Amino acid sequence: MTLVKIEKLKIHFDTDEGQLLALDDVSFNVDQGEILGIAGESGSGKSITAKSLMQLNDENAIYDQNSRVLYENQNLLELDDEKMIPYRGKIFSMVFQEPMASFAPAIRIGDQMIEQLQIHEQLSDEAARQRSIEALTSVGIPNAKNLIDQYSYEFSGGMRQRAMIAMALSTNPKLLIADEPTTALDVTIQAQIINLIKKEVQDRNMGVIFITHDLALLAQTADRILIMYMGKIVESGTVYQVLTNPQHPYTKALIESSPNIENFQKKLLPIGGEVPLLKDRPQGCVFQNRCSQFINNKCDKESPLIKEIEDNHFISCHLHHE
Amino acid sequence: MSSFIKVNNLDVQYSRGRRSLFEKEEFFKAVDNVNLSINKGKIVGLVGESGSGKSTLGRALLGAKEFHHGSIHYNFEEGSIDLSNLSKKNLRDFRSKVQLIFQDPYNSLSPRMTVRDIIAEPLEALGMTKSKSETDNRVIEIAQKCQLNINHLNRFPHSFSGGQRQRISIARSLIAQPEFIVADESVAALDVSIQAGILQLLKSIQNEMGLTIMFISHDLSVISNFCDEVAVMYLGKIVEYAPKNEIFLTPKHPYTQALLNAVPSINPHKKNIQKTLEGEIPSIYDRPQGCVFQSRCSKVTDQCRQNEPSLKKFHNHEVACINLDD
Repeated sequence: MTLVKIEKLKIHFDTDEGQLLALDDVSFNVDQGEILGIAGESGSGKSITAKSLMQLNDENAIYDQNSRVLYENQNLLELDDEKMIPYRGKIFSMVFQEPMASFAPAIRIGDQMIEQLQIHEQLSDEAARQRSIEALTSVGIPNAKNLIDQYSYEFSGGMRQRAMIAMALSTNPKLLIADEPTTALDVTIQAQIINLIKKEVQDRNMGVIFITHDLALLAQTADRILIMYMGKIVESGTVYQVLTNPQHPYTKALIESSPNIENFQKKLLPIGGEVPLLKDRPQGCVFQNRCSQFINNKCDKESPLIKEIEDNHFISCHLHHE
Repeated sequence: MSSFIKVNNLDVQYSRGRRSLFEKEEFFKAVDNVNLSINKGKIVGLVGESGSGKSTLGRALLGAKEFHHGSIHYNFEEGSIDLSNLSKKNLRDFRSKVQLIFQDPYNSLSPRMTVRDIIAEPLEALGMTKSKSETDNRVIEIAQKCQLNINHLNRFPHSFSGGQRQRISIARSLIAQPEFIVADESVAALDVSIQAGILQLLKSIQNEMGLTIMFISHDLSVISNFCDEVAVMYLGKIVEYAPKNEIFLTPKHPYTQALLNAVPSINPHKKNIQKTLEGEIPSIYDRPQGCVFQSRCSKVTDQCRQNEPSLKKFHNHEVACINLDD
């Protein structure tokens, strides 16, 4: 069942250099009980997409009139700050990359958890504290009863990320947005956190948007994947379709450039050139300057449309026409 | 052939300060009794979790962190150097032969210096050139080698992307023609499509100049692709050291095995990270007696809690574990 529907999400940022297009007609759904992976390099717009759901983008973000973020037939982009409160921590919850930066350093972890619970639910201090202890215990923090009164700097990186997840889940959200939740962690701790998130998704039947630059991590977690480049979705499909039968030249190149521990003799092929700056967004296809299959007079003129090349497998590229 | 770098029984300590005015200063070991020999022209990967002592070991090798016990020997082309007794003059010579490439291409370049000045600094600091024009020529030569646009050398770092900055950083570390380089997480901050290009560049320069590189990284897939040999560290100790193929195809130490199992596979048909190491690396202040890995090891025995295993030769590997079987 569809949980959230994003339609034609288009965002400009108002800067000294003019209004720059950061997201261009991004549309997708997240279903209940599904992990949707969003992958792309720095500046591809993955985090901006996720923040749009909670309207957490910087003040200078301008949402296009036709953009819609639909939850239970309500377009969230029409809501003011007050009406957005339930979507910032209760119905939608978020886990950030930097567990060090996402807890206030001078407030006890428990007090931060209790505060956010009481914003979203009518709970006494004691009940909120109890809920928080349960949440910490359920993510594998031993002795949560005592640790809840500690400060975030007293926790290791892995523990901090567990606490962050506990806090995000304590309100029983319908959708969890995880933005590079394991990037700052060691691989063994990353594996623990990933398994924790997968278990929670199953137990609660919630939806997850999992943002990362690491395709292998998505291969192990996601049900479906969106590949983003310069604010556009260039390919989407099931994890099997996108990673074992990639069709967009960018997706292919991204896989070719990734080192792979199971095939360590493989020659890594860098993608030539660099992502253009937002102010130099090209006319036509956004990937044209780095694409090995660039078609003169086509890719630099027209923006490719999104086509379905097999069941639920979409790409946006001129190489594919019916 | 004797090895290029030989490290014997190396300890590096940090001070924890004193608890009170009347107590002694406390120390803890970040690197504990490390033995390592590195052959010339090899790329040695150094891998381990945060807090395992990788960077400290790298810095000790460069003479940038003083060590408290043991020895570090270099066999340079112009003669050998013993790091434990080095005169001021020899230290200068030594510094021209070893270099460091940092992780962060944003903070490691001075924003107030032009790219030309950044790259030229080691030459000038070490007094290796006689005239400005000689310096300029060397800068242009190395910049070309690092695939930098030589018409942009008068610009400042802020006008370059992350990948370009890392090329500047590499050019700076190569200009004094070192024989040994420590690359500490040097590609960790880059996107994969750019990272592949930097690795390619490092490899071709390493080949051409016959460099020896210690490549410190937490990313096993990068190590598996880039290195010739791999040393695995845990809590200040090297627990396994072997040629790359051996490490990745037949890991021997339980920690190496667990580490490899935690690396996600890019093949979605092969779900692989479910079985994972529990717990976390212990604090360096509570180094256990016996084997450092005992608290997380699935094969732990009473013996492991009493006797500290040392690195022993085992099927082309050097492994520090008492429970090895074929």
